Amino acid sequence: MSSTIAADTIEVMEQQDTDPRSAGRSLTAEEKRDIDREFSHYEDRDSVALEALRVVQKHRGWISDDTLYAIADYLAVSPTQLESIATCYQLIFRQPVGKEVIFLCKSSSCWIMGCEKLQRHLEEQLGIRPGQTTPDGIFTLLETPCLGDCDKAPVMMVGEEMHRHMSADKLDEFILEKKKHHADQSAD
Amino acid sequence: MLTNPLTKNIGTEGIATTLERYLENGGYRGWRKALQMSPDDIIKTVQDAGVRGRGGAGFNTGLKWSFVPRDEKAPPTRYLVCNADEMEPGTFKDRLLMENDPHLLLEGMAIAAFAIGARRAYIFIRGEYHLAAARLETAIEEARARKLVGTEITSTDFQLEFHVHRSAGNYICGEETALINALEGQRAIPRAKPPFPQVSGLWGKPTVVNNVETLCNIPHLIELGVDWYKGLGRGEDGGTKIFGASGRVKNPGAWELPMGTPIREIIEQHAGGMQDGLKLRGFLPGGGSTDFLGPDQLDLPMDYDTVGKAGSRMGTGTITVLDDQTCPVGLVLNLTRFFARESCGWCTPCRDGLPWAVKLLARIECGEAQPEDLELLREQAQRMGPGNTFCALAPGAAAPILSALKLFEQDFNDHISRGCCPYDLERQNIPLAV
Amino acid sequence: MPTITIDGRQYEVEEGQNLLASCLSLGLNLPYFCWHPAMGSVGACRQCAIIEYKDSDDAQGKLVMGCMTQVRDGGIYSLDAEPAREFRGAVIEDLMTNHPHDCPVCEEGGECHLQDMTEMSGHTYRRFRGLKRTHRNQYLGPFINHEMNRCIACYRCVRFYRDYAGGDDLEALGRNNQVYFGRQCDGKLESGFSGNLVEVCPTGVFTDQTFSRHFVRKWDLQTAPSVCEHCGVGCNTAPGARMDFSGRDENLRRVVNLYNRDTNGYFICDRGRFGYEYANSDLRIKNVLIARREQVIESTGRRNDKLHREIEPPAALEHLATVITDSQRGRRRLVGIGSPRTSLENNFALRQLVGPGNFFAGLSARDLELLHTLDHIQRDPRISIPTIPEIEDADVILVLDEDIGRTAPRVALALRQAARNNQRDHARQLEIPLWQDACVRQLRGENNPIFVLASSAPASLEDIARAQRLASPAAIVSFAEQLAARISATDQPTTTDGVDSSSTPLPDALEHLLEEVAETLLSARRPLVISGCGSQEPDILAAAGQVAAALADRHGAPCATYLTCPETNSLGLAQFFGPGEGGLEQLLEELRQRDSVDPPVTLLLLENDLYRRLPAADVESLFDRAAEVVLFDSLLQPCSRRADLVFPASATPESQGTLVNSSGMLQRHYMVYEGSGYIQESWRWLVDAVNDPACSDVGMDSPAALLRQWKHCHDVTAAIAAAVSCFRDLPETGPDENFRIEGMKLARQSHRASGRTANRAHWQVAEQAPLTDPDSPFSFTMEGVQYAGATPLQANIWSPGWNSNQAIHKFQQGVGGPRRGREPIPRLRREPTAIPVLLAKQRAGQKPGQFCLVPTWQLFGSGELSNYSDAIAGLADGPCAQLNTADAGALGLEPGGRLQLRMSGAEITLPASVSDRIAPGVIGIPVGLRAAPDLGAMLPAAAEIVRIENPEPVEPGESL
Ligand SMILES: Cc1cc2nc3c(=O)[nH]c(=O)nc-3n(C[C@H](O)[C@H](O)[C@H](O)COP(=O)(O)O)c2cc1C
Ligand code: SF4
Ligand code: FES
Repeated sequence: MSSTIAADTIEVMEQQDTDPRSAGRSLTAEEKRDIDREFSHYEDRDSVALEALRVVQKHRGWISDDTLYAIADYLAVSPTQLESIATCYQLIFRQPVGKEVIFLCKSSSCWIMGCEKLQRHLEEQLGIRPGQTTPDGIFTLLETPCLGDCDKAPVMMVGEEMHRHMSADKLDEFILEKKKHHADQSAD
Repeated sequence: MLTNPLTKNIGTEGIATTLERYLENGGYRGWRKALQMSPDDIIKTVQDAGVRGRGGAGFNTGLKWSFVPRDEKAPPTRYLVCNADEMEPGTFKDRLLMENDPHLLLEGMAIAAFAIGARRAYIFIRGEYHLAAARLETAIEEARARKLVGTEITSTDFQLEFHVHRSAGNYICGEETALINALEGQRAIPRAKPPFPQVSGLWGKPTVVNNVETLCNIPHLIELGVDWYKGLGRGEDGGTKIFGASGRVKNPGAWELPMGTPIREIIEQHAGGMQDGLKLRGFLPGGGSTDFLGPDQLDLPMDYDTVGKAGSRMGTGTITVLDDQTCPVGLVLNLTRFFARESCGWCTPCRDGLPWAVKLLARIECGEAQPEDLELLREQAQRMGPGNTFCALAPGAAAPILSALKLFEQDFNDHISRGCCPYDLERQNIPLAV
Repeated sequence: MPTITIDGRQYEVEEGQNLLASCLSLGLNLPYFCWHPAMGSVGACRQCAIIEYKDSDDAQGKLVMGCMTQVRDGGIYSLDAEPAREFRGAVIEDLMTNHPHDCPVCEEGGECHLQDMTEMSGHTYRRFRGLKRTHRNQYLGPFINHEMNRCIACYRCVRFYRDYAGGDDLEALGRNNQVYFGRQCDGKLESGFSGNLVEVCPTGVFTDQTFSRHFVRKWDLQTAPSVCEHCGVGCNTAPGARMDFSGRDENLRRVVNLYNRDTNGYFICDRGRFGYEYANSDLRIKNVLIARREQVIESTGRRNDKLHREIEPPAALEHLATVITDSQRGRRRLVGIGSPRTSLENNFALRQLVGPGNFFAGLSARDLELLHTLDHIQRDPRISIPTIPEIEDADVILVLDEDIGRTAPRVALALRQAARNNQRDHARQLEIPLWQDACVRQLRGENNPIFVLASSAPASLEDIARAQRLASPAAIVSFAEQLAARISATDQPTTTDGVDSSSTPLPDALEHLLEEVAETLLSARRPLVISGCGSQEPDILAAAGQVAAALADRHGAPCATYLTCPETNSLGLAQFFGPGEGGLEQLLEELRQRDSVDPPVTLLLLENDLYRRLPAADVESLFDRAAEVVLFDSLLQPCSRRADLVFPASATPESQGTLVNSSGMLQRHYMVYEGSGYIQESWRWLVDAVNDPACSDVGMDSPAALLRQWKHCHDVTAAIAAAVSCFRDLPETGPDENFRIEGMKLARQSHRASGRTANRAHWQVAEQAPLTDPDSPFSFTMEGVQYAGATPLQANIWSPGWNSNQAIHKFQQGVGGPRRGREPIPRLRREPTAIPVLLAKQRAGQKPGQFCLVPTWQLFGSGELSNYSDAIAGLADGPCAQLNTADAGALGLEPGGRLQLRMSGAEITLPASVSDRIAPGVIGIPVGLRAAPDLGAMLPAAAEIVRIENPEPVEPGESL
């Protein structure tokens, strides 16, 4: 066995000292209510796994290990089963993301219309690569498959909002605006 | 005569048709009529009209519905699922329908559900379509309040509950059996058939999965009849279809046109032809999983079988146009990357073959490939032929590769012989495979 | 039977089967990965591609997956057609893009299905130029190594672990090419069947961690068929051994499953797989030991503890022979104490030597009563004992107070399959072939009814049980009695009339269930009743017998009834004793009654830790009353402290013998390797003693003289068959030592065994003469019959091109069928005793305020021998008293508190563990722990709580 594995083993010992499913990692009443609402739409509790992840992510921005355990407890499924679902879907974030998640469309039409160039511009401006978050915690850049707006390519989605016919100038404008917005927010 | 049943309510871009306006325009008439008909008659109508699935495969919708067991021994619980996962690269038609005329879809679903005896209907919508999902939810509320759907539908004891299920970014969920697994809260992996979903689908119950656009075809068909519907088409297939064009055309967009509209008409007339200074090199007739066709095939009518015979598929009917200044290898690399990333990971040729194809394409694109890599790439793609893989994702992924190797052979060779991409790299900026 | 054509040849094949299974059954080589004989097809790997032709005019054909295509009568297929071969090679080529090719350092190398299939598919040259993806591995506990980079994503691991065995902590994670098979975070795999991953994984992702500590290649392991000694199920195993010259004597390297359709099929449990290390334990006895004269200082030992030194065997044998001679002359009384964890041969030899009147079972009277009750039920013609496939076929199951997942794990795994029979029926209706695994599983619907009544929550049934109720043993007995009455009385409308009203009223939760269980069992086509000795309560067994008998009467056919015995040969041992005979208490009483004129007693103790059988004080008392204690055992167990003479006995894989499992099957284990030092079978020590010159006075008429005739194990076996009628089929368990196939012995070593002249070369370059085995037709070399197709005795499952365990299909009558050439397993031939109704005695009188102490079992912790295996020992929980949450609340017990319990004659104090996994009014006491072996000896019992010790309250602000 290689030494990396030995190192893993030590890590585990430490991890196991605290039961990952112990208290203090529970869902809020609101999150539970939101999940409960989903139950009526499905034939069994397990089926709500993805819905529950989505609902809680809406509240917390991402799914931490603790959150995952809390949801698993609530749904009475094992954390491994839930992880298996969570890691099957790209919009479930198992790592923290910034306040503005930029989904840059990388599919065929946007590519023809120059999304690579756009991406390079974005990466230069923000200093991050896909999957990364700016140090100020504002922007996360993600590449996404076709956003279904190909006639307005290149496009990107930020949070829930579409930005169409993008160009380097429009990107700069967008970044500036968002930076300002978040600066104002934190000043309040 | 009504010639644009799918988009007749769609006015100023971006504003959804409200229930009021929908009703004013004759909405839910098809539904009311359907409630007076027997399910058998509805199914027969849809079958006779030759409505073909707009999800890409073009299967006769009425025939599909007829497979649902409805005799006494049949399971009482049945489901209708609307496939609104639209993630196929280059496809942007279902978004348009759902955002702008949600009631049309609901009405179509209501009729379909009634026909197969489903009391619960799901709209499986991709997670990125926030606006469409919200508008559908509003529309469901509106329709329920009016007792058009729900537990107390006026003048019938039929009940129908809707639920919008938001997915979370996984292309394979568009494949109907993977979609069913996903709806059940399981990993999105396709299922083996048989049993077909119509017999044993969602939670083991008979289930019909139909595309958004397919279902939008139903209300007017029921209202206006088979002859009207058949009369809409210009070629073999009846009805209209949302066709679209994207890429470097003058006026990219989507239009409701008769089935059988020639491709040239779509690209040149509706999309305004190529942007100035560009020539058409080829096009994907209906999304990233269809084969490239060349300029010599512009006169084909957009019909399922005709495009099929020409060596491609009509697919979703939204055309991606490739111009002469964009690298075809780069485009194929882009598409293959998409498919490799979206492979569910279940079967070998797709899971392991696509990443290899990506590596080969990237090497070709960067000019680092050797001549034998082309053969290897072709082999890789051929391995993913229909039947060789578990579902149709991989054959779809192979389609653009194999057709590009034929159609743009010279480009592939040039990349290898010159040791670089002969196109404007500044624009393409292909990142190297990592 | 459909006829099909494959590559121009016609074959008859099984109807409804898939092409892959059919090809394999026909002996054709078709590669595959995701398919598994016990788990069916899912069509993921695409390796089993073949060409199917429409008709004889079709020259092109169509590529189909063999595992997903049903055979069609008149179908024409080709395995050899170029497109099929090419595609299969291509699949391997794709798989190999990420496989690390680390065969030389991979423990799977040499028995790797991936290697085999790669060879078979003919993919040789690598055309892939690029980086391979890499994964981080996980820590999965002490049993399993994880090396994800070797993964080819066949999904078998999760299909076994989750779908087949019900585990929920191993899943496919991620997607596309990154798909990862692991847990949410590092940690021990929780399923008790995790070890099967080692065999299920076609490559080296999951490997046996215990094996890797003393790894050798498969071809260097010598093997012979064996039987698992870690519980009463009697799974067949193929232990692998190789002499260890490192000085550590770790000769036994691993245990793997040995396919036997009726006892274990393809799978065994983790106790069986990882328990083997006891044979390599530092506590193994390898020499004869004699007590030294000097006294132990009491601060380090206990009173009467002895220290030992090694002596040469002849001296020890001479002593033993003298004792035997003395006993013949009436100057000594020889008392033999037998054992349920060793063979019939060892037990019988001791019995023969000391005489039946001086032979005791080495079990408490209660344990013997349990076994006799069980035996009694099994003799009833209304009872049939199901094989594993028959258990899997049951449609309604009643489990009465038996923690089957921990006392007979393999049976619990079979129950899990039975739970899906409704699903299979549904699939048949839809004409979905049962081998279409994913399709069948996705048919939702209720599990087959499994009703569980238990005093403490059993392992691994909760998620499949229709109803699981926790209740006291007394309540369960009443429930079962009333159930039996209802089943018998269903001619009348089912009211409580006709049910004996004198029986204990049932708690509401059980009362409500009664009707449902009765009706469901009556409507069952293949009902199954499960119970056993686990509750240590004969009444539970008797009540289970009543239910089964009532069902049999109603159905007019015997009722399948599985009753567990605790140890590997419990049922065999019990056959030597009539009801009421042979208990240790009886021996103790006899010794207590001894007069001073009576001759002194020599206790011959056979492979038995008496501290697990009786309260420690009684064991001490027993030893105190013996003038001399002679122990035969493989391990230095607690009794060795009191032994005057200790003979090293072989462990199960070091010896040949017969074991009787809970189903009454007679199964033989063969010697896999020879034990180190002077280790030999206990019966051989006895024979050696009788043959010692000091024993020459023993007359030919003495029963002990019979031992002189025994040279081979088979001689003992034959003697048992002649002496005890229920064992008369014993010789059919296997051939004698003279058996040859075409004049050849059977080889324990593979034809590729390497280094036999080199492996001792650091101390002796001369080639050693191979060992000889006097008992079996097996050789200790590679000379002899290698091929598992030639004899079902060959445990090295190998066929050309098939180096992994997957080769087994070459030796079956059809995939999943019985091993070719193997006779049905002989069983005990017991006299049927038609018992009207077994009446439960309901004696556990419990006064108000008292708790009922019941035994609780651990998969890792309750097994005597496995507790000496390092990997398992580390997993055992410590002794504690399990209490229901409500009871704990009423008692004011706080977390971390301790309970002092008083029962008749004893007091114990244990840390409390509070949960809802135990019935109210009941306290669960773990049995069989190495740390507290005799806890089980006091159970079941009524006890009161004398005192509750809550932890000291921590003052606010006080730091710990
Ligand atoms: C990989 C893959 C992705 C698919 N994605 C979609 C999709 O996004 N939307 C859709 O309607 N059909 C999609 N389909 C087709 C569906 O499986 C199914 O055929 C369709 O929903 C049936 O509806 P229809 O008969 O109305 O066309 C996809 C198929 C495959 C193989
Ligand atoms: S072709 Fe195979 S791996 Fe690819 S998406 Fe379909 S099932 Fe999954
Ligand atoms: S064994 Fe047939 S596809 Fe895997």
